[in-house]
This record gives sequence, structure tokens and C-alpha cells, in this order.
Amino acid sequence: MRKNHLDLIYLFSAVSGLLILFYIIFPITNTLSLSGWKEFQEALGDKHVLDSIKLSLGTGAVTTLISLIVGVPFSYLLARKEFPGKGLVESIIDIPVVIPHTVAGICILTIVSPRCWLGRLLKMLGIEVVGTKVGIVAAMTFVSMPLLLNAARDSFRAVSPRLENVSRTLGASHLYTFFHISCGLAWRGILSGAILTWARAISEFGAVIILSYHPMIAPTMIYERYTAYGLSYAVPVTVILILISLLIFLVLRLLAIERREPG
Amino acid sequence: MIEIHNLSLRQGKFALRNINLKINKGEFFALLGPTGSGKTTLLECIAGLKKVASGRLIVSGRDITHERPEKRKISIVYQDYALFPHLRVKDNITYGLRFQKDGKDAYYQQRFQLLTELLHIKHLLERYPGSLSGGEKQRVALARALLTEPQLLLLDEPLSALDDNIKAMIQGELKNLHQQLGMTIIMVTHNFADTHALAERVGILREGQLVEVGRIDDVFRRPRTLFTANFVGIKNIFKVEARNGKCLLPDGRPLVLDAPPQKGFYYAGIRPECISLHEPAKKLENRFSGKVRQVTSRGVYLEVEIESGELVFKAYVMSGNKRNPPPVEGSDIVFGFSSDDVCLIPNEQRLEENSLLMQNRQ
Repeated sequence: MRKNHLDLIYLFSAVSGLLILFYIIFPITNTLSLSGWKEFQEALGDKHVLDSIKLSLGTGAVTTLISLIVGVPFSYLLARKEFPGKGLVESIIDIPVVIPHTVAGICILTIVSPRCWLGRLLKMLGIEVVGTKVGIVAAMTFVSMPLLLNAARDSFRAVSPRLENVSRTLGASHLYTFFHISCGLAWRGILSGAILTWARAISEFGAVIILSYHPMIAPTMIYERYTAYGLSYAVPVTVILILISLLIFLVLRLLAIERREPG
Repeated sequence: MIEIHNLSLRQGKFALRNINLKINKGEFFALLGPTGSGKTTLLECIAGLKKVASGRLIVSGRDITHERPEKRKISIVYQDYALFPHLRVKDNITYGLRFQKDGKDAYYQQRFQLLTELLHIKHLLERYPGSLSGGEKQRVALARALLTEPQLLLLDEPLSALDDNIKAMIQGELKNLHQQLGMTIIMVTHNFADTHALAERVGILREGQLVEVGRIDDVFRRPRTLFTANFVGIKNIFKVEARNGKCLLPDGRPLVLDAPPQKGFYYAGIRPECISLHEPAKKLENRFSGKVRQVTSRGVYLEVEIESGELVFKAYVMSGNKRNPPPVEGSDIVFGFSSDDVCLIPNEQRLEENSLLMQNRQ
């Protein structure tokens, strides 16, 4: 009787899984099939389309790099140290994930406008945010960095502090230990977090259009083509973005997969 | 060689308080204590991995209290070995050499050969830690800790995760290493057998305080505190009164001691393995009659509970064979112990008095 009960559970789980996979794969493959070869070639030759894709990938990469540089050390601190208000800090980190992204865009806009001291300071330094690549990166970083922070923190937590202790007693400095032991063991988790951050960044639309409609990133370009010319003009650009994203995602994902040692 | 003066540390609700300890060069010292007593924390303070609130730590005459762990030349081996999983065994062992700038490469190469031979791990050098057994991991961790010739080796429960056969082998190898290399070693353990087999002196930690330090035999047979007596397995503890040159048990029967104590109240402790049953007991200074209440097998030995007057004594005897049958529950018995086997503990500690004494009162 117990066996039948378990089988039913697995059966339901498998059906649910198939539905989920169908819901992810079908829209993507359907979109790929909708694009005619001629339209696809035209889109590939369209300078505006290529520029927007390049801009998306480039600003996404800069966003990921910034997230890595400031996010990894902070994640390490969160993984290793207890301090008053740590729970609050960890909750604050997750706020960008839960607020609507157009709201996130408005929030950033309020601090970079001349009405805010930060906006005035940036202006004094000659840094334009609204309508520039800086604005795109600012919006992307705000909404996607939490993914890296959480992934890196969890990866560092999975590394036993005793490994770091042993490294230090054997003569390694804290910095050497951080790079060779902590990051040496946590890098796959950090890379996974970076992939998610990058993917989230290039797919960002809501926060970006508030800050920088122009220069146009690929999602903005797709939105504009769709609203101005209809679905048939939006699909080829969408297909190019899907293919490029999948390719880069696949390569990085393969790198992040852990090769298991025979135990 | 190693001196700890008034060392204190606070970590959340736990605190190490006023630890004072001296360990000689080349000594094998054991730190014993119940779970949560601060044994590992003390080791990590010595290694510089935890910042102390106050006190001083002096090694070979040099104050290293505020020195960083990488400068101390103190190695640590944890219970879970803490081998770097992403490095091969060889790279694990030689990890510390990356930071040795003393130009003694040839010497370290020789030492690497010596250690891998002594610990029988030459055939494992190209493997990753994930594919090693517990005993092999322990040997690799020891080799890694010893290669850079630390002035002090800290062992945190090095044998507790091993099965009995492997444990006996590693125990032998540790003893051999200690003798051959003349290392100063502090070992944290809660295992009395490991302590007896390896250490020369022992310290007892309780709730962050070092309550007793001494030679193994002294601490186990003649503890100075009620807590230690209980912790090291003295199962017979009675409150006794000394007056007129005699020492009296709670039910008024006299207890013969080597030397009469000063007038007052004491705790008398007798180790369970010091109590003899049957014929030999008749030749001992302290002998009583009683009834066997319970016999419990503890593997190679039996725990025998004997009712005698108002008191209950516990004795350990080897499991019986045909020529030496085990005591039978409910049978009358004569038992005894030498005056030399009674330790007297001053009546200064009252903390566990009730709980301890209740075990020995009917």
C-alpha cells in the first residue's frame, strides 16, 4: 500500500515537472519558430538591433563585474561574522527582488536627480546618469546584485571556517587564505551567482526605461518594435537575444558544474 | 616552554576565565572536559584564531598574545581533519611550505619523506581527500601540520571520529611521532583511554575554567575537586567526617586511610576498579559486606552495584569466565579496597554535592 502511495506522489511530481518544462520551453521554441529566415537575416544586419544587443551584453557584463567586486567581499563578511542588525542587513539586500522594477527605477531616479544631494554631487563630478549607459548599469545593478550576494554568501557559508583556520596556522595570511581557500572552494557558487546576475541584468526592462530609454538596450528595442510595428518586427530581435543569451548561459553553466571526485 | 597567564575570552554567553597553564617543551598534554567546556576555544586562542580579551601567551620566552596565527608557528589538527578538498594529498601536505622563506628546501624535502614514511601515506600523494578513509585523512592532516616543524602541535579530538582498530593504529603513530620528533603537543579529548595512552599530564576544563592540572595518575586517582572526581569516573563518592583521628562514612562505619586527616568534613572517593570482590578483599584495610544489587555488562568489564549498610558501592570487574564467575544479583558478597585507593577531597565545593552524593545513597 505504501509503495502505491509513493508512486502516486512521484507520478504527480513528474506530471507537474512536465507542465513546468512545457511552460518554459514552449514559448521560447514557438518564438524561435515564428521568425522567418528572411526577417531574421534582416534583423542581423540591422545596426540598431545589433547595437542594442551589444549594449545589453556589455552593460550586463559591467553590472556583473561591479557586483563581483563589491558583492563578494561583503558576502564573505555576511557568511563569517555575526554582528548586531545582521538579520536586518540581509533583509535589506533582498528588497530589490521584491519591489516592482519600475518602482526601483523611480527610486534610483529620485537620488540621481538634481533635487537630491547625490545627484548634485554626481553632476559636479561630471557623471550623467539619466539617459546614459551609467543609468542602465545603475538600474541593472540595483535589481540584479542581490542574486550574486545571496549565492556568494551561501557558497562561503558552505566552506568550513576550519579550513581557513588551518590555512592560517600553516603560514598563510588572511588575504591569501581568502583567495586560495575560501574563493578556491566557493568559486562555483560565486560563478553561478554571477551568471544569474548577468542573466537578470540583460533581461531588465522596467527599471532601465525609467532611467535610460536611450541608449536602447535589447529589451527596450523589442518593446519599441512591438508597440510601434507589431509582433512580426519584434520576434526576430527577440530570437537573436534568446540565442545569444542561451549560448553564453550554457558555456558559463558548464563551467560552474562541479566535477565530482570518486568517493 | 608554553606559558598561559590569566587568559580570558568572551564569546556570546560563553567565557574562558583566567586560564593559567605551563606546558614543558616536548610534553604531551591533554585537555579534558565535558562538551561545551571551552576546550576547542582554548586551542583556537593558543593558535591565535580567536582574539583573547586579556591575559598573555608566551611561547619559548616570546610573548605571542597579539601575534597573527600565520606568524606563530603553531599547527592545529581538527577532529574532521579539515583537509583542503580541492588540493591533492601532496599539495595539502606541502601547503605550508609556500610560506616558508627560510631557504631550507632540502631539509623540508627530507622531512616530507620522513613524515610520509612514518605515517604510511606515500601511496596516497596523488589522490584527493574525498577519496580517502578517515584514518588516511587523519594521517594526511598530521603530516601537513608537522611538515613546517611547528613549535607546538594542537590536536582537537584527533581520534574521536575513527573506528577502534584504526584508532589504535593512529594512537601508536601519534606516540611514535611524539617520541621521534620531540614535539610539544596539546590534545583536546573527552576520551580517557586516549589520554592514558598518549599524555603525560592533563588539565580539566569546566565551563571555561581550568579546574585542575596534574599528572594523569594524580588527576584520575587523587583529584582535588568534586567536579574532577565525578568527571574522571570516580563512581564512589561519600561525604565523610574526620574526628579523633578517625574517618567516618555517612552511616558511621570507619574508613581506613593512609594518614588521618585533620578534623572536619571531606569527600572520600574510591575508583570503581579499585574495589576488589570475593577472597582478595579480606586482606585489604577497608572491607565490607553487602548484597549484589545489579550487575551490568559494559563490554569487557562488569559494573557491579553493591548495597552495604546505607550506602551503594560501584565496582568494575572483568567479565567472568568459568574460573572466575561473575557476581550473581541478590547474592551476599565481601568487598574491599586499600587505604591507598581512597582519595580525600576538601569539602569546599558544594555545587554538585546533592546530585553526586544521591547516587551513592539508597
